[in-house]
Amino acid sequence: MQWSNILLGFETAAQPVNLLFCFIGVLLGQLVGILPGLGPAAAIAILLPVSFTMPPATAIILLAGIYYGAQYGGTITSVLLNVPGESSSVVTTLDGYQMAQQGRGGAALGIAAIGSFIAGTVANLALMVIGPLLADIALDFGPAEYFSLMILGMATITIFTSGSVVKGWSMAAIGVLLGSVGKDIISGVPRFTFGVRELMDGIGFVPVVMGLFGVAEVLSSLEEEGKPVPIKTNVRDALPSAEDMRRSGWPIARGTVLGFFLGLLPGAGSVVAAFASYAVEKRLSPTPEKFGTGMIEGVAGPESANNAAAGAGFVPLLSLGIPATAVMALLLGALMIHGIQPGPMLFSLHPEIVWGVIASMYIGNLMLLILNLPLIPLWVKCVEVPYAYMFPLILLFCLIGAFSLQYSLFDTGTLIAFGLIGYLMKKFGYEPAPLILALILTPLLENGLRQSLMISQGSPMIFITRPLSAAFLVIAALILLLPVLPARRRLFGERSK
Amino acid sequence: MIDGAPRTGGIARIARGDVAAGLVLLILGGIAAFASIKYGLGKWSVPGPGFLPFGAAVLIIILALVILARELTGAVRLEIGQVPSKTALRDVLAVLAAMVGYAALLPVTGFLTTTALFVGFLLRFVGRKSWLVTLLVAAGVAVVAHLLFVVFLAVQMPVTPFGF
Repeated sequence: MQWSNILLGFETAAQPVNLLFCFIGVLLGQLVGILPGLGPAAAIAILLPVSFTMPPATAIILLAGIYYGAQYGGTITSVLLNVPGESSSVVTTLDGYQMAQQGRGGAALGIAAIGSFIAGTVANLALMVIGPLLADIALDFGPAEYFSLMILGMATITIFTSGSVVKGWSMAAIGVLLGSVGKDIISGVPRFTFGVRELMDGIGFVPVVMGLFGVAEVLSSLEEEGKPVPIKTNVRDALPSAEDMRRSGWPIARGTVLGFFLGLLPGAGSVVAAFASYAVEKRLSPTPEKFGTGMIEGVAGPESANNAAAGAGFVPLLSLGIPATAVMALLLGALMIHGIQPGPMLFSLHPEIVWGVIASMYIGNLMLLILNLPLIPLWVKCVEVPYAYMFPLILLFCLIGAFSLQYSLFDTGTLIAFGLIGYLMKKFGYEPAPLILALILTPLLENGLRQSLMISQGSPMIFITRPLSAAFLVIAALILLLPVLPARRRLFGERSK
Repeated sequence: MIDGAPRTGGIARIARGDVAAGLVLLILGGIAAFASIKYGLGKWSVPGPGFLPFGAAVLIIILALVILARELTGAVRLEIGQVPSKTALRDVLAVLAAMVGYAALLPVTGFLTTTALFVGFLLRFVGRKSWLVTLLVAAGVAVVAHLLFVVFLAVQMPVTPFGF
């Protein structure tokens, strides 16, 4: 255990500006989690330009807070309104809403908050141990290993986030093309610029991401009609009973472990973790037929799992520089724009950032626990803000954000264009996550590919003869075979929106 | 939630849309492949600038053909987004037009005015709020935005000769 680093981390996290932005981050995350139609990915994308005005540690603390904060917030509307605020909270509607109907909404929310806190904290502890270990191993990686690891990452993200593997890979390939736009670093040849001067430096991933996640979400939400009727909730009793706590103990523990390991896999993330935990709890329960009628295990497990998975997502990001989900890809992009090269060297070159973020996650989880337990009625009020007022603000933020990056209307145009593209993609069932991941990873991917081939003097066998690289590729191939297994369909079910 | 349109009609239209999407991908892949060859594929031992893009383009072409084949043979019926209703479509177009308008007007009418117009337009024509509400909220948002971004964060948003 690197105590000096941990101390450094807490020193960094305890600086007033970082405490402030940690709070703002988790608050925004909570809010974003509550509001259906606005997800952490969109919020992070929108706040990227703002985060550039701050030092990198602060920026990541803020953006990370939004991410794990959203896992807390999504529960509230799931339980009280049967409307999942986040896709990772879909499963909570099954039993959580039932509990609310039975007047036990407060207990459900309370258990969810407690489970989320425990899971988040444990995941953080694991991150502290595994992260540096993984980073050490990764220091031996060569370009071939990186290339194969990127391929593995894209394979898992594609499997887990797309309804159709074919469509997912096509999006990843498009992302590679987009990432190739601009002057080639090695040869200086301008690629896909079509004479447009502004494209010489590439397409600018921030406007693309804001368009695909922020604007496209708004455009899709315009179609939804009808507001959920708010429950007259009496949630004074936000504390679960002793019986509730007893029953939830094991589900929380199992959810945490399951969620953590699933969260390590690129692509799996909190959604898969929540579904998996629900399935596990149901299978292990002496009364599985009661699931769906208000079993607290069906809330405790998934709510812990999604938080554990969110925390676990930071492991590959901080130790390897590999994003596990679209949100992690955004954080990766944020680091890169701050001039920080993510990868195994991050732990040694920028310990204050890594450990600062880790330390702030403890603080953030604590803040969220406090925010969640007594303040539920306040949060419920937030849902009542009509979307008609919200969406112009979201769009305005996107426009200002895109423009302010380089004071360029071209970036603004990119934003709008990708907003439209993102909307069309949604309509036709093409997921943006693989595209974003590929867009961000392409420079590393290409470097890995070209350097490996130069080292091997043209032989692609280098990716297979080097053991680690071969291992990654084998796992990637196995993952691609997953859809064929019947177990996957049972476990993950249909992808609901 | 397909507004008004009969369900099968909606699915059939989106299914044909999948063919359209497949064609778009095919064309994109084709263009990218040609361009990549032009940039130079290099040799296996010294990959050129077109190497990776070419690979990606070929993958796209293959996948596009798979998508088209599946659609045209009716092999897979995938879950796809709903067909938008006429009002929803009009709203989407209005929003896009508003955003383009924002970008166009920004250097001309300055940050404050453009923001007010943008928010006002959306509230009135998409949000269908009353003129009073529209006016108040648009003005309020514009002022707050000005204070937040121009004054507090010191972002150099375009201003008219009047200073806003």
